Amino acid sequence: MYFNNINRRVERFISPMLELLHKKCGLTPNAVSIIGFGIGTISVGFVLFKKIELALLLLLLTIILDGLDGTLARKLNLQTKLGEKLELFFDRINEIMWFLALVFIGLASFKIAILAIVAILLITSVREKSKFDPGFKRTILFIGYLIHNFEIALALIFIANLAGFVASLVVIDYKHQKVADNNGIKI
Amino acid sequence: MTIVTHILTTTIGAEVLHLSGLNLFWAYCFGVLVDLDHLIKIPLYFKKHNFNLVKLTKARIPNEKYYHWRTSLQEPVALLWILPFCFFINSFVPFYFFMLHLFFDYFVSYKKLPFYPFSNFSTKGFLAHMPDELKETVTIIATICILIILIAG
Repeated sequence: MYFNNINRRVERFISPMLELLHKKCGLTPNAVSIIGFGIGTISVGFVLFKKIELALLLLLLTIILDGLDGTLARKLNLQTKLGEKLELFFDRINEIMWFLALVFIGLASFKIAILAIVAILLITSVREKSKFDPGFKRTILFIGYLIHNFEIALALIFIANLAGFVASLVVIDYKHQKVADNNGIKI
Repeated sequence: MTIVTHILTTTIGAEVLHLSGLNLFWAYCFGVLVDLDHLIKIPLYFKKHNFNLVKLTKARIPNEKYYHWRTSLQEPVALLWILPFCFFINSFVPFYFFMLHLFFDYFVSYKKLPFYPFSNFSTKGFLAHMPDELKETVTIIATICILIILIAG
């Protein structure tokens, strides 16, 4: 909620600038996604050098840009399937790099990082069918910093995404049964 | 299989593995309570048969024998989340008891979608040509006998 508020405020501030950049320099939503991914990768570099505060600052910027590319695409009517997939791909790669970097510097265990990655990939695999995603991913890392425990943060990411996956399975099944019942088809 | 068979087989499994505390809880959760997923489709079932809860005293509850009550929560696809969960809690009891549940469910010849939503492949399980009532009766008698032997021993 807190991050959503920040996101919306920054979006209101940056969105007109991006629109202007689109008109003047031809900046596309996909380019914004790529810039976001680049900044996310740099933030992982800072994690590896144990500059967590700087890394989190850049991660915040990545999250903001992540929201902006979608907003920009909708405003300019430039939504594409490729753009959507590209954003999803960049987000997942960024998260995986972040989690493994935390393992590398000893702030989280390998087991919990892998479990968090698996849970995120599971929910991503059914996202399109269920249209459901709890969104508990990178933002939880800020909580990890605040409580000085990234292990708990990754555990939270794992639990939230695994529960999200289970809920997604139920939602998909329910929709499937509803369609079958309405059309008089026996499953 | 019916809930009775699942309770009996889970109890045998728990006895054999000498489970207690949290592991016993996980055993019954994944061996018996996973069947609660059938409740999810009750609203759809009632809607399909134009059954209204207000009319409960007047009308009979519809009885469609082969309605697909199962959800992906008790299909092999659920292992995708049950296995990571086992690693997380450092216990494979949920996996063992879920497999036990699955094994007995696949004896009953209802249609199953083992890999849905990733694949629409469907199966009726093992020994589909034999009557379900016979398989159920044999399983219940066998499990009760094993349980008596275990408790007596």
